[in-house]
Amino acid sequence: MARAAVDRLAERDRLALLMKEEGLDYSEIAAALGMSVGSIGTTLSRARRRLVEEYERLQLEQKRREGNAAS
Amino acid sequence: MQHLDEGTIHAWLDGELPLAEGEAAAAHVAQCEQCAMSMAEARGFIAASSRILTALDAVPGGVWPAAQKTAHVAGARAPVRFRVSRAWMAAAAVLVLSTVTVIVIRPRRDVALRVAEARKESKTAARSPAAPQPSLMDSTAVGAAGAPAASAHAASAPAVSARKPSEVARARVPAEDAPVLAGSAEDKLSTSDFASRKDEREKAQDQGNSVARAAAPPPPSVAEAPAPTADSLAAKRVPALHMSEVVVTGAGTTTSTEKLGSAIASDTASPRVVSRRTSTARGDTAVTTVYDVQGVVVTLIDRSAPPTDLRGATMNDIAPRARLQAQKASAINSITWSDSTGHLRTLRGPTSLAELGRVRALLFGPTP
Repeated sequence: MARAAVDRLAERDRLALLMKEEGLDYSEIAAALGMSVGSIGTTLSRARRRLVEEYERLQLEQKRREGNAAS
Repeated sequence: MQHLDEGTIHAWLDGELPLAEGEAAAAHVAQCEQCAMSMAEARGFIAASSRILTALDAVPGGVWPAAQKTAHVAGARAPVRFRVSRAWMAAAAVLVLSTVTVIVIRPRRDVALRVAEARKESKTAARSPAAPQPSLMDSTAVGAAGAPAASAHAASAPAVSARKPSEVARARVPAEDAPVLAGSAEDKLSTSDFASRKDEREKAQDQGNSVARAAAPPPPSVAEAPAPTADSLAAKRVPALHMSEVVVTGAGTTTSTEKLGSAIASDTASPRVVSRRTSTARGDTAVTTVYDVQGVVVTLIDRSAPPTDLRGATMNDIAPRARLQAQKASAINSITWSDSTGHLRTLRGPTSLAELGRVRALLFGPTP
């Protein structure tokens, strides 16, 4: 489910998020993605929000499926 | 101060804001309730995303097959081990040993079998009345050089060689008939086998004569010495004989045989055969027959070719010389003649020449 949620992110958002999770700082992420340092914060905020929303959505869908299967 | 945007908040929470901006943001959030709520939400998102991304590293068990799991661990290749069970190793060792044993033992067994067979044949031949094979083997062993297998036979050789030389008949064997004597046991056995078979063959070839081993042309004293009978000669032959000396072949003179047979059958006063010997030397076959003519022993020597050991002496010189020697020796006369068949015959005996002539006429018919 986590993989599915990550796969639903935009590529730039996914990469920024993963690189931040790996321990890279903003300047390194900006250099890797070809972006400005000031925009990395915004990118990461957007990426984190979407990731969480997607993950919650998938959990909800899974619960619904399980509920339907149980019934 | 304006409200903080989400990027700035996330940057401030990630510690990416410069020091001055970070202190300013902190001061603002402390005074602004809206920015405080935004900052709290941002912290929630950061934590949740971090948990989700951490879940990506946790690989549940059973995803990879057991065999492949070990190969994919840290990218290392498992060493390949070739193990052979002990049972297979034992079977291979047994197979190798059996093969080596067969290769080594088979030749030896073949040799042993041949030795046993040769001994059986020799024993079988020994039982035949024609030839005393054991003694022949003994003589073979005595004549061989350096034969360890002949030691058993050599043990009886001293007893054999103790016999008198006069009892042992010797004759020269043509080169083509002489068996090869070697130092191996097989050669010894094959030699004895050859001897036994040769005796049987000669016996079959010679019609009226038994296999004999003649001595050298008998000396003049042969007529004086007790004439050995054919049976005694047959009984006394072989022991302590060299293989090269064994077996004499020779063609009898059919003419004399026929005459003799008719004479014996028809006339009691005709010469009676006492003994007959056949010898072959240098291609010359000589038949020596001892007759008893009314108590007088005469010797007839029948040669298939004129002797050539008289230093070029011609036939005309032979008879007179022999006659003269006989007369000088002990009043033994001899007559020598040759017939149309090319045979040179000498009749010798302690009697007059006339008597010898009469004997000749009895044997070969009247002189033309």
